[in-house]
Order: sequence, then structure tokens, then C-alpha cells
Amino acid sequence: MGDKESSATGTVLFVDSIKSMAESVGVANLEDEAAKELAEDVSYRLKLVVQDAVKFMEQARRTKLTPADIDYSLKIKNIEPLYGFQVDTSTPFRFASGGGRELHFMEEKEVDIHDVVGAPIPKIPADIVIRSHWLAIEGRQPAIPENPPPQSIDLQRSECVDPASKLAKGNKSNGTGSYTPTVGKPIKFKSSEQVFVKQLATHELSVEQQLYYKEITEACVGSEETRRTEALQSLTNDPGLYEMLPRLCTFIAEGVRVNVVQCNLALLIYLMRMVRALLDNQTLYLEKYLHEIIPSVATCIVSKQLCGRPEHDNHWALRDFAARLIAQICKTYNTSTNNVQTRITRIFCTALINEKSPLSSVYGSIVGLCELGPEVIKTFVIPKLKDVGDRLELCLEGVGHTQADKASCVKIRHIIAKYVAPIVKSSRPATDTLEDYKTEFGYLAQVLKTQDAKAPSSTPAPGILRPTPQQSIPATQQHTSSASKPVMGAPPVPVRPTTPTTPTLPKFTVGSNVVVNSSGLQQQVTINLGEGDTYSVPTGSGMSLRPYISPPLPRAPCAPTTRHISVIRHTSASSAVGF
Amino acid sequence: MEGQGMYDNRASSGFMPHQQNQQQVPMDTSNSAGQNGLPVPISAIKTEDGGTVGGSGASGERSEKQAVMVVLGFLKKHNFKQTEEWLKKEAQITESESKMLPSDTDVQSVLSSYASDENPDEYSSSYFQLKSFIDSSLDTYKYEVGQILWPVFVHLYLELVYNSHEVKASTFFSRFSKMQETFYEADLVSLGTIMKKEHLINSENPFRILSSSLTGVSKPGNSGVYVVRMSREALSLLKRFLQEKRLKLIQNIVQDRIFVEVYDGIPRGKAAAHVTAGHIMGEALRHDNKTKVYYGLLKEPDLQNFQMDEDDDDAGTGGGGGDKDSQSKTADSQKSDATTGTPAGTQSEKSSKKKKSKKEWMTNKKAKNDPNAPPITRMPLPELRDIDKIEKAKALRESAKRVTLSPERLPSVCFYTVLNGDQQVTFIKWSEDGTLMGVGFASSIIRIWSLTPAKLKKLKQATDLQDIDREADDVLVRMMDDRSSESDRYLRGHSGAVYSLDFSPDKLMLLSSSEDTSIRLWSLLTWTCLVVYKGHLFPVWKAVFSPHGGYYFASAGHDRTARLWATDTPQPLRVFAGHYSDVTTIVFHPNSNYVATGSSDRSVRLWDCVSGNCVRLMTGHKGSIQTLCFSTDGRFLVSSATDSKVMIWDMANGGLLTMLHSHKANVYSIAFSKEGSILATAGLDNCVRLWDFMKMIEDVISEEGGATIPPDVKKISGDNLLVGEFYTKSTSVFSLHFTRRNILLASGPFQH
Repeated sequence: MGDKESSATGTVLFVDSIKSMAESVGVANLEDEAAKELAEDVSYRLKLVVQDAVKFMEQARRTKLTPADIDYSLKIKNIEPLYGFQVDTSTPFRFASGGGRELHFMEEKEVDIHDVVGAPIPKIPADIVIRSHWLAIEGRQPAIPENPPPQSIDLQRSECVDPASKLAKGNKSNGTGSYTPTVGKPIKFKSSEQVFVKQLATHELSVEQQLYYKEITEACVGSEETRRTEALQSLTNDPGLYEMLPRLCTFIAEGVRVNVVQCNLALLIYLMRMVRALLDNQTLYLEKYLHEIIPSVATCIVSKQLCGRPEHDNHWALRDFAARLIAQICKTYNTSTNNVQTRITRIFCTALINEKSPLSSVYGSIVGLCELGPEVIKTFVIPKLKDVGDRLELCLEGVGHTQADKASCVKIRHIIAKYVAPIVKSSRPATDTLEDYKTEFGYLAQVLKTQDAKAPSSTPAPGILRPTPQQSIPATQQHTSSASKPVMGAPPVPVRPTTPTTPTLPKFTVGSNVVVNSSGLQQQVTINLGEGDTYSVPTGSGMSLRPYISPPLPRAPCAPTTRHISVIRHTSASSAVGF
Repeated sequence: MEGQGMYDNRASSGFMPHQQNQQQVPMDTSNSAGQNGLPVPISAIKTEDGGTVGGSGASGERSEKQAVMVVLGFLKKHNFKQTEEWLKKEAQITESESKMLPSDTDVQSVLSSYASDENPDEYSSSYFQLKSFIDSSLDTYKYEVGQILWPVFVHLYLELVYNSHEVKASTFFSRFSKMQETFYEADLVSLGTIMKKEHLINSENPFRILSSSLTGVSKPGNSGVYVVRMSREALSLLKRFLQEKRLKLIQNIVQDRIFVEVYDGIPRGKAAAHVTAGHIMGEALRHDNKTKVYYGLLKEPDLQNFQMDEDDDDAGTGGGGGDKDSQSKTADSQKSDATTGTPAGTQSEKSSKKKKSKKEWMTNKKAKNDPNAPPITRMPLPELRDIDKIEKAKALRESAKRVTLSPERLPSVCFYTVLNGDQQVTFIKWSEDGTLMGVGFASSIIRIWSLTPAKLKKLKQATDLQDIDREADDVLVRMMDDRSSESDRYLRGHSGAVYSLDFSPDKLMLLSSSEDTSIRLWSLLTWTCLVVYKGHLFPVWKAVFSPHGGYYFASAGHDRTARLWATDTPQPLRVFAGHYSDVTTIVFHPNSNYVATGSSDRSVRLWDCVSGNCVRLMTGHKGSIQTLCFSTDGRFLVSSATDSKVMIWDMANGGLLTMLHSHKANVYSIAFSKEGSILATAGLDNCVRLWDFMKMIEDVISEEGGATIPPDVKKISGDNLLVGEFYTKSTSVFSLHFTRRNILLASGPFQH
């Protein structure tokens, strides 16, 4: 009888198993005594077979025992192998229990011979081929896709949290040829007594990396769509970008700053696609560079003007796309120490509350907030609906407003119907009439209520990164961007006929002597919200921002809700795949 | 054994077309075990005269008598009346004694020693007393004396099982099995399979060997008895305890079934006692490693006079790439090379070339006067043919371009990933110059890839060959059929998984061993099988060519033997028997005079090809041995096992020099850089690791003494000598090889 407490040693098949096996071969009433004898003998023999099968596994340099190993093992014992158990993957045992009995069995379906004969010939398996690459060059592992990323994402993350870990590791990695930038001059660790002096980190890029940077940035903002696709693909997949990240982020930040002023919609879209590519790169951890990325992305959401002809150009798509990016950033990098989400929410709220902010900014901030999830919508968007409604009413029904403003109003109404209405509906009793809505939401009540009627309550609340192509990309423009669809989140290519091919960018020195002080960089990024209405957002990463994040007591309605939201964020983050 | 019948048939029906004119092997065969291919253990024929050192005189006498009894039984059975009488007289055996002759089957007689009238309850209590005595004894002696816990446990358990106290045995097992050292876990599992007397009789378990030795029936002398090394004080402590407590049971076992080798000196601590433990039969005896081993290299043939008429073959023979390419330094060229499949060497190899070539000659001269080198006539080796000389000269010229590696100057590693081959690839082997790569598959196919632009061509048909002018300079080129050129070729013939491959040094032949119990010799000119060597009765795990000329080769198999063969003889020249379990791997010493074998009994042995004797026994691995590799100077042997440890042994005295713990999974490939300064290891943990070998052996070389015995535990860990560590994404590494220019080639199948 099976001895449950003993582990691998001394286990014996259960008498019941023997009995059911006996039944399956037609022996009806096996006596207990006989079954016990059989069980012991069978388990003994099984163990012998497995013992030898393991040898075959070891010799075949595998860690998984296959049916073939068992066959070979039987063969050397002069027993006929069991034919027909050749499975590529693991053996598909099924489990069943009932009546206090547990059973593992293999499901064997009866197969009609005609089906087998008539079945189409299976695809020929791929031929075995050999591919070569450099695992190491003179003791250093090149950062190519074939090799594992030089700086694993966990390491990057721990470096963000604890910069000292890098120095400690420096001792070890020196000489083993890891590809991390050396700190200061390469210090030889011959004697352990040497004092380690921390110097300014100089990130020296190799010639190849400089070339790569040049190529990539040119391709990303250039006019050739195919090259751009390739470049973005490279940004998404290349494992060796870790060292170039500071440059690329600066490039994006500077690019956005210049092009917002020049209202160059196309370039802004290209830059956002770069951000998207970097975010999607599995080997990068961007937390250190959020102080450059977030302001840029936020600018693309709430800026007053993003294009030369706001009434014609589809800058809405850019705002939508950037909003999704910001939501992705929040989802990935929000921690209790950096409070990324709280701060981003605050940016949007400020833009939303401000009565003077242009309607395009209002649109951006609403989209931005909506992308952050239903909880954010409930807390920040719904209370403001009445004010927003008033502004829309004024604009749409009043006179003296530009075509662009009117378009903005339509868009805002649209976005509210899409994101906010389902949530309003679910949070309010179904008995509410239009009148009730009106007292609460004013002008927008009609939109919310009709949306309710149209969309049944089963409509799920929009998720954080729910793709909404039909909203963000007008059908007329879809075809132009279809080529690059797999790479990007499908922002539209602008219809503007004269897309400047060579962007006016700030001067960039791409050389090995560029010194970037990457630690604790703090800067003021200006988000241009319109004439005379600028406000500054101090940004930075982690520690440097603490005084800004934790004011003693924020305004009354905000304080509890932000806390509440951060809790929500945590739960959703933990359930998210990959993080 | 049950399986024997089936395989006997196979072996006898073996058809060897190419063996019409068998030559007598130019070798002293007087000691070899039979031309008939029967696995007669050499050690069984030879009588061992090693003196017993320890306190087991009584057991020696007893077992001798037993041995005589067995011989008598044999004589009686086969009706050798006169001899029987003489033997009786000489051995002074009385009639009454002779009636107690062992029964027909050896096994029965072996096991009968387990018959005892002891009260089964005593086993548990005795063992418990022993255990608590050891636990409470002084730390100095604790671990030394503790070594006997395991063999005593095994014997007590087997005795219980034999005497049909099955329930008692099971409780005994479950009570004490958890107290054994962790590295006996594998043994515990196989011991646990024996639960009944019948199991003991039928079992192919290694423990049967352990028990068979007890009465000395199958093997005279000390071989087969569990060996424990103990300091004198520790032993006397143990003896005193056993006498005081009157633990008859254990006393018997310690006296009869465990061989205690006593040494004078300080008792070993925990680490030292454990580091050499792990072999099924305990530790190596001092006398096992006494024989002198000529580990030096043979004199290299003088090639200075041998002028090569062609000077332009760089492109074809460059280690993994062309010469011109090796000058390139930028990533651009690497990228393009990686995609075309023939990456170029990037080391600036030509720098200080002259200096190096001078050094080369210096070292060669040194080798000439090596006092440890065997006499050139010790083992008859084939004459060098012209083709060998050309190959050697090429290698020499290549070596002039080689980069001398050091921890500051690590090699480039070129990785050849086998795609779509997960779970199918079983073995990968490079030709010495790195131009050919052979892959063995579980599907019994062998595939050869050419890694240079030179294609693999087939010999022309016989009728076409007649037309070729045999005096032409390029006769070798003309012989080949251009229409047949391919970049890779299949060799089909085996009927079971291919477990090993080896290229002959001249790259004209390939040796393969397989699950189908055969070894095949293939021609790489006609791409057909030349000879099937049958002799092993069970799967052949490994077959390797001798480094001299591709005439001798050696094989290791599941039948617990290793064999030495010559390509022109269908039977093995030597059968090396002595391992207690599968011989999993085998490798030739660089001077071809010795072979080293590794086994799943967790020991490494070195055998003398000339005498057929085992000259070194090295214990310490805790899992079955997987790979062996000799250092370039021939003095050190590197072994790896399923315990994912790598151990470095000194052939001078069989001592353990260093142990490397860094690997996380089985290590399946070991390689030395050409000048022997860097050791590379890799395996299933998807990582290639490089070690500073010069530093590892620094002390040993300077002291002129050899590795210390017992090993110095403080020095033994070599993990601080790791100089490089390169992970692959998801490719386990099956093979490592340094090209003549010291570029490290690695390969393995990508795992999905």
C-alpha cells in the first residue's frame, strides 16, 4: 500500500490503481492480497525502468524525460517497448476525481481511420539550421538581439531604487566584460585597499553607438515611412539601448519643445511614436528618464496648439495617442515613492479647472484623465462636468467663437459620451430621469443620458489602455498609416501636404565627449498652454521631487481621493501581466 | 542479465565487409581480455597483491577461503577432478569443509552471507546507538567516523531485506534514510527500490555489487569492498566504542564488509571528509593511485624540414573564418559576418606574431625533455602519413597567428545556434580545425555542416576515378565530384539515437556511437559507412579517436566496460572493466597511452592502454560523470558530473586540485585554449564560463609536488578564478572548441 509520508523513496503504487488497471484488461475481481503483491512488484520494476531511462535522458543532454527514454530503457531490459507514446510536448494526462477517488489518465479518443487518411498532410516541420553570432568579442558580450540584454531589466530597476548597487557591482563586473559604462577611469582592482572615489559618470558611447544614434534619430523623424518603421522596430526590440537611453530621451524632450512652438504636428507624432517604441522595449526600464518623457508626452496632450491649422488637422489623434502613452507610463512606473500618477493627474486637473485654458487643452486633459481609468473619471472628471458643460454651451450656442473652438466642443462632447457616460450610468440609480441629470450635469446631461439609452449598462468601463481606433483615427486617414500599424499605436499621418522633412532641432553633439549628468537632474519644463498662460511643472526623478509631491495638506477634495486612487492603481498593477 | 540474449544475437550476426585482411595488432595482448569480445574484467584475471593496511586481516583470510571455495565449486561442476584434488590439498581444505561448497548460482552464495539469526529489532537500536555515538563524539573525529554511517546503513538494510523482515526493513529505512548525507540521495532512491528478497537477487542495482564483494566471491582482493579512509585515532575510537557496547552486528559489518584504510595524521574535518565522498564504493585507496603515470606529452614530430608547397590555403582553413576578415574590427563587419554564417576572428592576431612563434618553438623544445613523457615506443603508434604532416604543418602555421590568452585578454566566443533542434540534438562535435561541425540526433541521423565556404564534396565514381592522372599535383581536388557539393550532409545508418561523434584528426573519417549498441566508422570522402564495430552489448555512450593518427579509438557503454579498438580490427584490443555502473564518458590522454573514463558510479578512472590496468581512481563527484577533458599539458584532468560541479584532478597522484561550483546545471562541455591558460566550461544552464587555469595550477606547478592528498579544503574552491561569464538567451551549450587561433566556438540547440 502506498506509503504517503515517505517521499520518492519507498513509494508503491496504490492497490486501487492496480485494481483499476486489472479491470481495464479484463480481470474483474482481483483479490486484495494479489493486488498488493502486484503493486509492489510493478512499482519495483517501474523504478528500475525509470532509473535507466534517466541515463538515456542525461546522455541525450536533456532535462526532460521523454517516452523514448522509457522505450530505450525497456529495450535494454529485453522488454518490448510501448509503441505509440511519442509525444513532443508533455504527456497529456487528465485528472478526474469523484467518489473519494482520484485518477490520472490519458485521454484516448477513438479516431476514425477515414479521418486520419483523409486529413491533409501536416506541415513539414522547419528544417534544422545553424545560425552564428558573437557571444563575446575579446571578453565582452556585444549587445545584439541574439544575446541577452547586457543590463537586465531587474538590474536597471534596482539601480533606480538604489544607485549604490551599481558601484558595488562595478567591482565584480570589471574584467568580466560586462558592457556597462565604466565610472570614471577604469579602476583596477588589484589591491582591495584602493579607495573608491565616485566621480561624475561619463557615458561614453562607442563609435557604433554614435552611428546608431544618428541613424535612428534621422530615420525616426525623417520622411521615409519604411525607414521609420524599421527604426521604430529597432527601438522596440533592440536589447542594447540601455546606454543610449539618456540621449534618446533628451532628443525626444528637446524635439517636443521645439516642435510645439513651431506647431509641427507631424514631428510631434513621430516623437511620440519613439516614446511608444521605447516604452514597449522589454529590456528597458525608463524610470530614470521619466522627468524628460512625461513633460513631453503631457505637452502633446494638453498643449493649446499642436498644429498650424487646428480646424483642419487632426491633432486630436495625437492627443489621444499621447494620453494612452501617459496611461501606460503610469501603469508601468507608478510607485508609492515617485507618485507619477498623482502628479500627472494634478497636471490634468489644473488644466481642466482653469477657466482660461483653451478648449483644446480641456479636451486633452479629459482624454488624459479618462485613459487613467474609471476611478479617475469618477473622482476628477464627473464633478467637473457641469463647468465643462457650461463652457461648451457658451461656445457652441454663443457667437464669436472660432471654427476650431467649435470643433473642440464637438470633440469634447464626443469623448465624454464615450468614456464618462457609462460610468455615470453605472454610478447612478437607473430611475434617474433626464431632469435629474440636468440638475447635476447641466448642459451635458443630454449627452450622458442619450448615451445611456444607446449603450446598455453592460458596456464595460473603458480600460486604461483600451484601444479605440475608430475614435482616434478618422477613417479617411487610416489607410495612410496602415503600413506602420504594427509598430505604432496608429497615430495618423497628417494630411497636411507639406510635411517638413528636415526638422529644425536644437543642436546636438553626438560625440563621445558629451557629458550628461544623469543623476538627479532637475529641470523646469514649461508646458505651453497658450499665450500668456504658461505654468511650470517642476519635474525630476525620484528623490529630488519629494518637496513637491508631499505638501502638508492639499486641497480638501483632492487629498482623500488621490490616496484612494493610488490604492486602486496598485491592485491593477499587480494583476497586470508582465509587471 | 536478461538482455544479453537479444544482443548476443545481434553481435554474432555482425557483418563487417571491410575486414577481410585483419592484421595482428602490434601490441602486447597477453593481458588483454580476450579477442572474443567477452567482457572479462581484467582485474578479475589478475590477482592483486596490494597489501592490506588496515585492521581487516581476519576478513582477508576469510574471503580468501571463500574464493578458494568458489574455484572448487567451479572445478567440481566441470569435472576437473584432479585439479580439484590438488587444490584441496594445497589449500588444506578438509572434506567436511568442501561439502559446504557454494551453491550453483554465485548470487545465492553471495547473498547467503546476509543470512543471520539476529533479532530484527536489534538493527534499529544498534544503528541508533552508533549514530548517537558519532553525533556526540568530538568534532575532530565526528566526520571521519561518520563516514561509516552510510555503508553500515546500507548493509543493515540489505540484511533486513534479505532475511525477509520487510516491514522492519521499511521502518528502518524510513527512520534513518533522512539522516544520511544529502549527496547520497540518488543512492537512497535506488536502495529504496529493493524491498524484497527477490529484488535483491534479480536486481541490477549497484548495491548488489556492493554486497557481492562481501564474501569475496566474484572479486579477490580489496576491490569491491566499500572503502573508508580514517585516521588511526578515529578508528581506535570507533573500535573501542563497538567493543564496549557489544554491537556485534555493526562490528561484523565494519570488520567484514568495510575496508578501512588507516593513515597517520590529523583527522579530517567535515568539508575534507565530504569532498572525496560520493563514489558508490567509497573512497580511492592509496594504493589505487600509486602507479606511475606518464602524463607528459610525446615528442612532436619535427616538421621544420617538411616544407609545404602551397602557401595560400588560409581562406579554407582559417579558424572559423578567413584571415583577411580577422583584421576587421568594427561592429559592421561582425554584423555582416554573423548573418552570412562565417564570422571572422576579430582579434588583432597578427600583432607580435614573430614573438609568439618563437615562444612556440621554445615550448616544443621543452616538451622534448619532459621526464614525465612516456617512451615513444611504449605504445605502438601509427607512422605519420603525408596528410597528417600537412595537417600538422597547417596547425603550426595557424598557431603562429594565435592570440595568447590570459585573464586580461579573453577569447572571442562565436556561438553556432542550432535552430529547430530542441529535444532532438544529442551531441555536437567540431573537427579539430573548426571547419566541420557534426551533429548527432535522437532520430539516429548524423548531420555534418561545413562552416567555411568550402563545400562538402563526394568522391567521384570509380569509373571516373580511373581517368584521373594520378601524378597530377591536384589529384586530391580532381578526385572530388564538383556536382555533389553541399553545405551540409546526412549520414544515415544507425538505428537508435546517436550519442557521440568524433572526427579523425585528418578529417577523413567520423566515428559515431549509438543506442543501437554499435559504433560506426564513416568516410567523409564517400559519405558512407565503412565499418560497424559490434562488441558492446548495450548502448554505447561515447566513442573517441586517439589524438595520434586516427588509428586507435576507445568507447564506453552501458555494459559497464570501456574498450580500446583499432580501426582495422573488428574486436576490441582491450576491455577496461572495473566501473560499477555505466561508463558514461571516455577520453584519450594527449599522449594516447592512457584513457580516462567517467561512470555513473561517480568515479573517474584512468586506464593504461598498454597494460590494461586501472592506474588512477578519483572519487568526489556526487553525480554521474558527464564530461572529461585533459589539459593541454596532459597533467590535469577536468571532469564534470550531474551534480553540476567541475573538478580538476592532478594525474601525478590522483589528487583533487580544484572544484568549481558556479554552474547551475549539468556541464556538458569542457575545453582548453590552445596554450592551456584558459579553461572554458558550459552546459545546460545556458552559460559559457571562462576560468583562469594558470592561476589554478600555479601552486602545484611551482611546488613540484602535485595536488595534496587529502585535498586542502581551503584552497579547493576555484570560484574566484572565474574570469568570464557569457549567458545565451535560451540555448544550452553542448559543445565548446578552441580553434587553432584561440577563438572559442560554442554551439547548442535553441530551446523553445
